[in-house]
Amino acid sequence: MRFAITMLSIVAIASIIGTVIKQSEPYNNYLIQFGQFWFPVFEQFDLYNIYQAFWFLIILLFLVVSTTLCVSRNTPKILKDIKKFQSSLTPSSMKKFRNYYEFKTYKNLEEISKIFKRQGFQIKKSNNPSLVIAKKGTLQKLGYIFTHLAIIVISVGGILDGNLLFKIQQTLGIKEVETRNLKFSEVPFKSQLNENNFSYRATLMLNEQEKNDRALIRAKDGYLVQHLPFEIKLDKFYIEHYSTGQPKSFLSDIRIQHNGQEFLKTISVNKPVSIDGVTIYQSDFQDGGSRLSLTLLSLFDEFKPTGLSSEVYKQNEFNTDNENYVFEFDDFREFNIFQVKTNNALATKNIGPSVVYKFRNSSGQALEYQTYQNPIPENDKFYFMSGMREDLQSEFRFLRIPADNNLEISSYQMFVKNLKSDVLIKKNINQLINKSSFLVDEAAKKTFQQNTYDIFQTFLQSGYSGIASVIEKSIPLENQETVAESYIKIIYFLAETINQDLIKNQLIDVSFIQDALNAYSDSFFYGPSPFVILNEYEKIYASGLQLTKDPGKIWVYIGALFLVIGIFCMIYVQEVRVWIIEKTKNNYAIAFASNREHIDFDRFCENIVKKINIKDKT
Amino acid sequence: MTLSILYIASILIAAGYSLINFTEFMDQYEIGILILSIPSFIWLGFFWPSFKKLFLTVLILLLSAIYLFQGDLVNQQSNFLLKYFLSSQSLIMWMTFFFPLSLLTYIYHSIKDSMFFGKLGTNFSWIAITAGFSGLMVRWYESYLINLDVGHIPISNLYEVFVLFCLITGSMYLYYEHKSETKKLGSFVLIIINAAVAFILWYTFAKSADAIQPLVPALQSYWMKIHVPSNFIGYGAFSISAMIALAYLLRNSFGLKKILPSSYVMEDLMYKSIAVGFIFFTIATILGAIWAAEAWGGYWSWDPKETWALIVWLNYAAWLHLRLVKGLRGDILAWWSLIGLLITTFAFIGVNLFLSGLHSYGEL
Repeated sequence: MRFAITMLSIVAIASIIGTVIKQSEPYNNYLIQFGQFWFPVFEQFDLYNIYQAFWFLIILLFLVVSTTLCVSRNTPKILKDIKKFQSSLTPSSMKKFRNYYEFKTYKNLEEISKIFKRQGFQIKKSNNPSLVIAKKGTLQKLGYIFTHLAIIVISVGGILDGNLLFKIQQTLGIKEVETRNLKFSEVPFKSQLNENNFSYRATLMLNEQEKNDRALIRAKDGYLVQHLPFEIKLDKFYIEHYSTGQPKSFLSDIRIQHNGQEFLKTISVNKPVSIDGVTIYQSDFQDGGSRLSLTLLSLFDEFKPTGLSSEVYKQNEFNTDNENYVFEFDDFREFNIFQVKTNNALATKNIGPSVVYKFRNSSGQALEYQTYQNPIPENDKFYFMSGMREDLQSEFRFLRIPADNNLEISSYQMFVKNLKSDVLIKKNINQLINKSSFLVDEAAKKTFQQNTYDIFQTFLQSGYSGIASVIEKSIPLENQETVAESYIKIIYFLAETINQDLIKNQLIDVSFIQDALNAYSDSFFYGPSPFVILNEYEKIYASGLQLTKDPGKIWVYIGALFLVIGIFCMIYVQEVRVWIIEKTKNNYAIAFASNREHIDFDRFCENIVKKINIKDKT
Repeated sequence: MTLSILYIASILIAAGYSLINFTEFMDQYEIGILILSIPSFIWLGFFWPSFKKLFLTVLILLLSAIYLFQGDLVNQQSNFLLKYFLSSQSLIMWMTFFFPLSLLTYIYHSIKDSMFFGKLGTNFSWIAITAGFSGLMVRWYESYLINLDVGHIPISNLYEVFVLFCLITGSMYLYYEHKSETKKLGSFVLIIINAAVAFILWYTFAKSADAIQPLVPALQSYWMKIHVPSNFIGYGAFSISAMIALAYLLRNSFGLKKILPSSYVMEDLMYKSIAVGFIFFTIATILGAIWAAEAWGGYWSWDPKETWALIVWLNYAAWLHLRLVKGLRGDILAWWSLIGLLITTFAFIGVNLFLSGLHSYGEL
């Protein structure tokens, strides 16, 4: 018993460890998390797959065996107990009971026995004519058998569905986990499990219109290939939405070929389908290689917008004069649900598609980008948003390009083009000088012209941060703030006058200018990727199916039923034993005993005694 | 007698009306659950007579709210009664008002031994759970007003289940109070309820978590209607036993004999609530496993929530084993049940806060 409790405690502690260390992650994650020293130590104890660890299974097995022994040893005794009546007691030993009553009644023993019978007691007369023995609730003892049996049955069911069989095969060297990244057809026989495999939980990711008769089982740092008794083809995957845009259901139309028959089924979350003992679940989805038609836009107007057609998971080369880059498209999301602020109220909204890609240079370094197709509303204005991050751990930093009054990006393109036009810059600086009354002599005009031109060029070449470093270098500290303010004013003023035509044609509002200047300045932190505009797309999904074969399930459920019955018997059936003795004519003593005495039991005894007496009076 | 007739009649009418008019919103299992709930409620009304009044009051408040809404959520802004009393938000706020009030009066009752304040404490608790249950019922209705496909039983996120926790714990306490004929444990049990109330208030005002959200696909199942409530009967019962254990320990070590019931009564209540909690927790875990088999493709995935449920289960199995088989009584069991609350709390919210897994609906 003591040993069993120790083992049970180990199981409990191991289970807790398993909840703290995220299970069945790629081994690289653990290496990063725990470091070179602890990673192999933890691996030794199988802490990354603790619930499948050999030692864990052995302890469970031991618990099952010891419970079985316990039940088989105690059951005959208990069954005997249930049938047996307790032995008689002497009047003096009866007095020791907590619920002991003496009273006088004109009823005889026969009548008193009847009252007990009506309360559900079994009565036994002893050899002594003045003693009656009664008992009730012996089923409580069955509770023991049921609960312990339940634990055995549940565990056996669980073991049937566990991977113990594979573990043994693996130990014997018959099977092994594959860790290389291979196609299903290239996986060696040793890592394949045939369709007669007793139980499994496998996953299968299918693109739309793709089919397969094999699935994948994750095991430790690798996988196994499970042959299925049928072939599945994914016709279509689709998402239904609530009016707010949040997903309502994920569904897959699948086509199953089994023994020459074809079944058309639709599965969704909470609505799996079973065929030949294998249950197919909707468990995941991802992009299945959506086709994208894009336009690449230079943020500094260095080249003309160029078209690019690609697919998710495809790579496209992109060469500039001094570097060769590669676009790696990783994901395309048709729906992006966000809390959007409109009219000062937060609302959940779908803001439309986005594309995720990496932009890799020839030395292998990559930046990750996420770009949204549609302009996103923010405080009654709209912005084209694209996020960039250096590594997967950081948050995206967003470049926000203002949309024009037609909700298009073209005015921003025009804006940048105008900013970069030397002719326009010089023309507008001259206008500024002509308007400025404080510039009297030619020399001052000349200096002003040159300074203004330099400031603007600094901005064009390195944004606000360039201006800031110029000021830091050349202006005394106490004047920096005022100078910065005037520089910013000059830049703004020039940008506005340079783009007068856009405003006149009502393509943009005045407020556009500041947003556009900010976007231009932020572009220096955006990295080398051109801005990607998504024109058209064809969404193709991949649906993640789970395939479960669990013949032990029914046993687990039967065990669970036993468990409930058992606990109910143990807690709510009360075992009561009663001795009634007629000491002298019409003078009785009653002793009640129960293995569980508490307040309700006291009341119960009192009630019965009252019943014997009350009937007496009438 | 009239009350019983009224009670049964309203259950039958309400269930019948739903079965005639709303079957298109239910699958066959949900219809089954509705039909089975008819005898269950009738039984509950006779097992605990006060429940009848609770049921009827909640029904009246719900019907009034439905009448005032007139099928449009906008009315909760304009209609005075809805805005301040009968919308789910205000009803739940009234609950969060009366539970603390009840705690204060219970404490006063314990210290001054004032019968009047004891009764007041009980009544405040009754008002709180009446408001709370009505709040959840109205919220259920409101979810359908948002959109027919959004409508669902309000036990689907952390905010809603915290309300449920307060209500179930409160109801169970009131039942035991009635049975054990002492109001002196109120000042203890109401502490844990008010801790939950504090969380609800913080969650509402700091995180605006009170908005009704549509169900994610994984939760769209009839299993939710039985899995979640039975789990919370378990949590509630374990919490009550822990608070009684606290009272028990204080009584024996700090000489609070005067203001607390006898050890015998408290031990008995501790046992009873753990027993009932254990049965419901077992059933809830089993139902959860069956649901998981249907939704996630495996009845047991060693998901953190599942694993912690197992640990909670083992903990109270051991408690009951010690008491029933080994015949243990006294301080050890009280300490055990108090520590059990820590484990239960971790399984309830700690897992959502600190661990990731499949049960990620209630993230903060």
